[in-house]
Amino acid sequence: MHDGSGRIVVQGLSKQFGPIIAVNNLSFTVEPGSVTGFLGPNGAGKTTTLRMLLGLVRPTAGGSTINGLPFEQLGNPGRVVGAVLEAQGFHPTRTARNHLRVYATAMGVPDERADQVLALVGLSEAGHRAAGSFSLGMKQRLALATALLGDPQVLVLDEPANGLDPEGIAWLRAFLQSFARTGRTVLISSHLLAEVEQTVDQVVIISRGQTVYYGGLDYLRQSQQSRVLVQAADPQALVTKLQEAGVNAVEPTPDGRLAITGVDRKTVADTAMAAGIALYDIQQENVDLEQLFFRLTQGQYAGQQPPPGYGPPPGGGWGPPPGPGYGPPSGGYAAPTYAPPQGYPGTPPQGTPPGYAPPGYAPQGTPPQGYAAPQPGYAPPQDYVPPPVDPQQYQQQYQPQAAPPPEQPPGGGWGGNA
Amino acid sequence: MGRLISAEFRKILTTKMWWALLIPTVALAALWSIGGNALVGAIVDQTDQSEIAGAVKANVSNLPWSTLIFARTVNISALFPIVFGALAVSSEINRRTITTSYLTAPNRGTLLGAKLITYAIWGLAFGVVITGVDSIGMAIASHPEQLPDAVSWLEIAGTGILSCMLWTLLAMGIGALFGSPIAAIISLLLYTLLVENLIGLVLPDNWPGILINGSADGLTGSVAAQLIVDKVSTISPYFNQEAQDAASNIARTLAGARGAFDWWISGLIFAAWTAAFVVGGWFMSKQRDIT
Repeated sequence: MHDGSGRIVVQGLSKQFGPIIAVNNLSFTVEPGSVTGFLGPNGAGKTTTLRMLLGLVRPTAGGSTINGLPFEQLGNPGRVVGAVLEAQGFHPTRTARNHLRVYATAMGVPDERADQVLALVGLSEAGHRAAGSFSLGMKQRLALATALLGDPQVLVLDEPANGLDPEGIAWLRAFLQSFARTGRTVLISSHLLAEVEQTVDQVVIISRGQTVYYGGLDYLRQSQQSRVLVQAADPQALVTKLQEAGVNAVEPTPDGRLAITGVDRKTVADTAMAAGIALYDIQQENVDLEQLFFRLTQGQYAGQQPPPGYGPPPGGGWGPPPGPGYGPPSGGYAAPTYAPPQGYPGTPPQGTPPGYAPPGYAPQGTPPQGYAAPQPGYAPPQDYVPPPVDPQQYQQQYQPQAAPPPEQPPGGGWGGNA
Repeated sequence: MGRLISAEFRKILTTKMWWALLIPTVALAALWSIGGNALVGAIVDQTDQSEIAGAVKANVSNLPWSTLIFARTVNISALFPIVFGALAVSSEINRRTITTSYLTAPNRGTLLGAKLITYAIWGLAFGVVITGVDSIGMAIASHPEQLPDAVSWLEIAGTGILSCMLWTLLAMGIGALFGSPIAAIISLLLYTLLVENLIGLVLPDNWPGILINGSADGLTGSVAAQLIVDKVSTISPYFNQEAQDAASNIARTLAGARGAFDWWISGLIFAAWTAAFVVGGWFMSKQRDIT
């Protein structure tokens, strides 16, 4: 029998479809009691990985376990794992209630459970309707109801927010968090970090079938840094003054301004004021999670070479997290250095690599795209502890040398938008 | 396993496919059995008055001709249980419900085992309906003296039901093998109705009897042919072994089973074909990635 731990372990998982390597030596662990986001751009191998985990796709190499056992050894898997893989999988003329009753029978739960889960996902009224007449959002709800039939310990969801209205997304978030708070496990995939940012505690980020980040979302948040861009009358004097004040992360930008990292706008202005240096322009820019996610995964279609115009920073002094070793654990990642493209905000993009656009870039305080109304009563996890399993390999690489305080408390993304 | 079989029954009973196929099954069986028996009755009446019948001193109209039509009716009506079986696995793949079915079953083998049992039962049910309608049609349209006796009727009905069940399972195997309802149904119908008849034409002697359709037809057709041949020896004193074999071959051809072996050999051959396709479908289902 399975060990009842609720732990998902993916070990060296690989899948090749003909000449295409969909998943390449993927390893991560999902711990119970938390919501883990499984992130990556379209085509990164998320769905294939989840389907391998659930025994639907045979891995080329490696394996995975749920509760210590491969899926096909779970006995009655519907009582251990619930999965929302797609908003299809319904016979178009079978009613929602009959659909649920079929699978309730298969996993040996009473028929009343079908009505319970219908009520749970808000489909009680539509239970007698054929699933083929459902909207995409209703199908997603029915898929979730199916996943919950066996009252499973582990929930695996593949892009469950697709087709859900904002109200549905907010409901799903609250539901998943309360589900995880009862000590159960949630693994949820998405191609949008913003979509799950408020829901997840941990993230596994993959790109081109490989893990590029695995660890707590807090560590990613901490590596969010802002920098101040100033146009000074005497840049050299300002650099000297800043260095005297202990601010060393200063570098010139290609357009003649200074980029100062690790301080806020006020400190820079005060320093300039005290030194009597005129400032013609001063602005603060923030690197948000979405951008970081984008950088982590942007190698997806860029091939092995860094795209033109996207190179190491001129001075090398700017950029959290610093140092070599930033990046994915294996080779083949296109952009190993954390560097903005030249002409980063303020100037027209020059030589922007194909596909590079800062869709997730947003000024501080602006909710990310896809953000939905917060759920009343939501409380961010208070004492999130990173899992004991060996994520240090990645996490250490991400910790800034002098870790700045996070811009927001974990889960604080809710706060500014209430 | 019991849970999964119940779930399979629910899957079938919560959609319309089963009765959407059962209605044309009944119609086709009734049409063939009534029309066929009426036709045979008319032909036999003609033959009976001819000089040949008088020359061999045989009373042709006293033979159980209706059994030939019975066998042909079963063989043609099996079309619908074939479609039903072909959809068992392939339709789930096509509609993507197979994902949830696999996720709620201990493993793929157990699910396929449950389907096999479920569809065997449904195949039997289709067989009972077909042979039932066939028997009624026969009783209505056949001359009373051309009807089989009770034991013969049981024999031929039993092989008819067995044939329908095996057809359902064979089609299920092909559906699982191909994974596509259209591919499975088209290839099954094309093969049984056309391709094998063409192959059978060029094959000598008993060779058509080892083919899929040939062995299935032989299962029912040989029983029917044998009933007639057995009767022939009782009505004509001139009937030696050689003549019996010749008559048997003619009767089997009339029953739509040219070159077929005896019914039990045909049954074993057809069961082997069924097993081969079920194993093939099972193997493919084990391998298939559900993406």
